[in-house]
Amino acid sequence: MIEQFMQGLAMAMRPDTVLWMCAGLFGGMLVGALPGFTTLMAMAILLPISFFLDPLVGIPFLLGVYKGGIFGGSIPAILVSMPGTGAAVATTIDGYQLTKKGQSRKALDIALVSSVFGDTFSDIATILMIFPIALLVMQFGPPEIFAVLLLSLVIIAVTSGGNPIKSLIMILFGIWLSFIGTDPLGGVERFTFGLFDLKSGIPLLPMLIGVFAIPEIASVVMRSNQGQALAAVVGERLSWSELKRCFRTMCRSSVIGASIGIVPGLGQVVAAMMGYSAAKNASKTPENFGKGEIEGVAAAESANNAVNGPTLVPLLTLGIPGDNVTAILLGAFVAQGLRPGPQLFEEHGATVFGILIAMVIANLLFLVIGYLSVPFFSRLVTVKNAILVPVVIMFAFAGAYVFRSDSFDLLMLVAFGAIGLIARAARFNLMPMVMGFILGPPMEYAFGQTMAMAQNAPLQFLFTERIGMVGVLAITPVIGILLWRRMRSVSMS
Amino acid sequence: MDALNRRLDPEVVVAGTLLILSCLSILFMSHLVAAPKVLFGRSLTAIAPSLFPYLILTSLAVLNAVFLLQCSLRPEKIWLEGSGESNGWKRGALLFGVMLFYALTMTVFGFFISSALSLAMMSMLVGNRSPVGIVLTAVVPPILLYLVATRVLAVSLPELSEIEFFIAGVLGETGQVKGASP
Amino acid sequence: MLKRLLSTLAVAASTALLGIAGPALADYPEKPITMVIPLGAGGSHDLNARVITSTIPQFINQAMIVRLTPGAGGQKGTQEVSKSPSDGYTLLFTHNYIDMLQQHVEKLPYDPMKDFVPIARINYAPIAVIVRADSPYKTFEEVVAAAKKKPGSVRMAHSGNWGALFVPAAQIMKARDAYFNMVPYQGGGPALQALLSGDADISMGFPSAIGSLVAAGKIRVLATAGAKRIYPDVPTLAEVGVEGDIGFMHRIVMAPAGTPKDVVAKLEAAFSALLKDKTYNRMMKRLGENTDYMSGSDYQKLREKQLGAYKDLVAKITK
Repeated sequence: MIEQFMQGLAMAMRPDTVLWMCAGLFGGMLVGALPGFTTLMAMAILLPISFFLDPLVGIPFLLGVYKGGIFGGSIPAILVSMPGTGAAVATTIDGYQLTKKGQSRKALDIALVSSVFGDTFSDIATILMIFPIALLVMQFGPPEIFAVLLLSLVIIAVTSGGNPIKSLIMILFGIWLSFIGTDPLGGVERFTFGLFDLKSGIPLLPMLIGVFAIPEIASVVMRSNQGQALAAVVGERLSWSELKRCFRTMCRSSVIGASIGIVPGLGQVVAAMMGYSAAKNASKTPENFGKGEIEGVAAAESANNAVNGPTLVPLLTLGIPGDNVTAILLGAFVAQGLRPGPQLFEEHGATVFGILIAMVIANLLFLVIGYLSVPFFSRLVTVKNAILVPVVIMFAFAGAYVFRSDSFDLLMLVAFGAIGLIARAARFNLMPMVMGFILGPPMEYAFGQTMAMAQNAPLQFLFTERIGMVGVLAITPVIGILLWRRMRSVSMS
Repeated sequence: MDALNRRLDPEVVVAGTLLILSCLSILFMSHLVAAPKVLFGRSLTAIAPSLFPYLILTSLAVLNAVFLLQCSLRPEKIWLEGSGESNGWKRGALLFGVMLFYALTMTVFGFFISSALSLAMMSMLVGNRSPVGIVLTAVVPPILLYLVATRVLAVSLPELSEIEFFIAGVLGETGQVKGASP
Repeated sequence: MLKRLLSTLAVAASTALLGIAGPALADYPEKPITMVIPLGAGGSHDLNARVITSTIPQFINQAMIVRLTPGAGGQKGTQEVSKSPSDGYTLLFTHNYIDMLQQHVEKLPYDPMKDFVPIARINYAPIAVIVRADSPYKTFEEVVAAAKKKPGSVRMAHSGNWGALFVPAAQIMKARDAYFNMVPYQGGGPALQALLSGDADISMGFPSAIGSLVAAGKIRVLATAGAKRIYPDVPTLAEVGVEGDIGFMHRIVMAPAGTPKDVVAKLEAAFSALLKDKTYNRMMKRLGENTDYMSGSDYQKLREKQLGAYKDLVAKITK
C-alpha cells in the first residue's frame, strides 16, 4: 500500500502530466465560464483525446478540465449574477453583491482560494480513507436520501432570510414547477396541459439564468446611461487578513461538502447550500450575508468543491459511476485498460494512486493559473454597458439553447426573467424557489423508491430495516426550530 | 398606507395569485395529472403520481392563506422596505420586447441574423448611439461565439443551411478530412 | 402560433432554395453532420458516439457533431429528428426500446416505423441477471420460485420504467408467471449499487458494466441473454424458459424517412467501413462493447419483428 503510494507519487510528477493538466484546467475554466456549455460537454468532447494519451496523462487531463470547469462556472455567477449550474447558485448570492460594490476581484479571489481549498481537502481525505468511505457509501439508500433532502429543504427555508413563511412558499412553488412534465417514477404527464414542449419538464438552466441574471440586467438597463459600466472599479485583491477570517468557514464547509459527497446522488447543490447556511448560522453578523459577504462566497465554493473526492469512491472501488461526470471518467479508465472495480487497487494500485495524487497537484497548479487569470476576468465588468449588456444576453440565450437544443427554452428564459422581476417587486426570495425546483424531484423519487421497497407496510419496513432514516426525520423539526429561533433573535437585535 | 394601496401591494397580489392557482389545481387535479399506469394488474409505481402534488399544493394553499392573514393582521411589520427602481420601466419593457423577439426568431432566422438584429437593438436601448459601435457590437460577438461553439466545442446552434454552407466554404472545410481522427 | 407559422415559412423558403441548388446534393456531405442522441451525457450511447465521431470523418470527409437531447424518456430527441429535413445532415443514435417499444406504452408525437429508416446497427449488448455473491439465490430457478411463493418478496432494482433492465425483467415475469417488486433507480449504475448494498435482491447488467465485479467475486450471474452462453456455467434465458428477442439493447443509427437513396447509401458505406478501422475496433473493445454491425436493411427486418413482439408483451403485462 505505502509502496504503491510512493510509486504513484513518482509517477504523478512527470512533466507531461503537469503540462496536460495545465491545459485541461485552463480550457475547462474557459468552457465552464460560458453558461450552458457545461464541463460535462467539454469532458465528453475531449474524452477521445484521452484515449490516445498515457493513463497518467489522459485521466489527469480530464480531471483538470472538470476542476477548471467548476471554478469557471462561478465566474459568470459572480460577475453578472448568471449561475450556469445549481451548484453556483449559493455563490451568486454574495458574489454578485461584491461585484456591485466594486469588489469583483476580491470575490473571484476568494472563490478561487476556497474552491481549491475544498477540493484539496476532499481529495486528501479520499486518498487516506478510500476504503472506509466505500463502506459508508453503501449505508445510504433511497430512504436516507429522502430524509437528508427533507432536512436540507427545512434548513434552506429557515436560514434563507426574511419571513420563513415566504421562503417556504417559494420552496413549495419551486417543487410545484418541478412537477410540470412527466412524473419521475411512473412517467405519466402532470400539469403539461397537453403541450409536448412541456412534457420533458422545465429546464434548469433557463430558469437559473432567467430568475438570477435577467432581473439584474433589466435593472442595469433601466438605470443605465451612455458609457456607464456595471462596476466602475474591480477593487483590491484578497488580503491575508480576509483570508484568515474565512479560514474557519472554509474548514467547516469542506467537512460538510465531503460528508454530503458520501451520500450518493445529493451532490454539489445541497453541499453549497448547506455550507452557506452553516456559515451564516455560525457567523456573528449573519445580517451581512446576502449583501456581499466574502465568507458567503468562501462557504459556498469550498463546500461544493469538497464533494468531488468522495463521489469518485464508488467509481474506483466498485466501478459504478454515480453521475454523468464519473461515467465519462469510467469511459476514460476503461479505455486505458484500467477496469475500475474491486481489483483496481490490486492490479493497478500505483497508477491509481498516481492519478489521485495528480488530482492534488492539479489543485495547486490551478491556484496559480486561476490567480493569474482573475485580473483579466474581473475587468470584464468594467466594459461599457452598451457592449456588455447585449453580449451577456447573447451568452444567456446561446447557453439556454445549447443546453437542450430547443428554442422553446428561450421562451422559458424570458418567462422566468419576468417571474424574477415580479418576485423581486413582491420581495419574495427566488433562491428557495430554485432549491425547491432542484431538490423536489429527487425527493419525490426517493420517497417513491422507499415506498416501493416497503411494499405495503412502510412503518414496519422503516423501523425494522431503516432506523437511520427515522432518526434523521425525527431531528428535522428540532433543527428547523432551533435554527429559526436563532435567526429570529439575530434579526430582532 | 390606505386600504387600497395595501390590497395592491405586489406581495399580497403574488400570495393571492398563488393561493388561487393552488386551490384551482387541487380542484382540477384529476384533469391535470394523468392516472397511474398498470403492470400485472398493480400500479406501476408505489405512490400515485398525484400524491406529491396534493401534499405540496395543499401546504402551499395553507401557507399562502396564513401569510395573507398575517398581512392583514400586522401590516406595519410587512410594509417596511420599499420596492425601489420604479423609473426606467419603459426601457425595461422594451428590453423584454427585444428578448421576446430574440427568442422567437433564433430558429427561424438562424443564430447569426437573429443575434445581430437583437444585439443591435439592445445596444441602442442601453444608450449606444454610434453607428459603427452598434454594428460592431451586433456582428462580431455572434460570429465569434458561433465559430467557437460549432468548431471548438462541437455543439450546434440553430443556423440556416445556406449560412452553414457559406461558413464551411469560407473555412475551406468542404470535401476535406476534418475532425479529431488520429 | 406565430412561431409555428414563421418556422413553416422558413422551412418552405429553405426547401425552395435547396430545390434550386439541386445538384449540390450529389456532393453530400457538404457540411458537418449532426448526430442526435435522445439520452443524457456520459451514458453508454454518449461514449459509443464519441468513438464513432472521432473515427468516422475519414470515411465521409466531414465532421460529425453529437447533440444530446434528453427528455421525456427519449421522445424529445427522437421527435426533433423526425421533424428535421430528410437531407442526411441530422441522424438519430438511439436504441431498440425507445425506437420500437415506447409507441405501445405512450402516445408519441411521431410514428417510429413511418418516420425513420435505419442506417446501421452499431452493436448490441446482451443483458445478464445478477445477484450478490452472498445471496441465498444460487440459481435462476430459486429466484423464480421465491418470487412465485411470495409475490413481491424479491426486490428487483432496474434503471427506469420501460428501460433496458425493466423490459427483460417484465418479459421474464410474463414468461415464468412470477412477480418481482420492481424498484426504479436513475440509471444502471445506481441500480447496481442498490444490489451491492443489499437494498435490492436481484438486478441486471450488461457485461461491459459488471465484468470487473463478476471477476472480483462480488456478484453472481444467474442467466444471460443470447443464443450462446457467455459464461460457460451460466444458462441462457432461453434455457430457463424465457424465449424470444429478449434482453438485447441494439444501438442503432437512423435517418428521417425520405432521405435520398444515394445519401443513405453513402452513410451506410461509411458506417460499415468503420468495421475495418483499427482505431474504432480498439476503442470499442476497450469500452467493453462489441462491434457486431448490421446493415440498415437487415435491421429493418428485425425492427418489424420487434414491433409485433413488444406490442404483444405490453398488451399482456399492462392489464
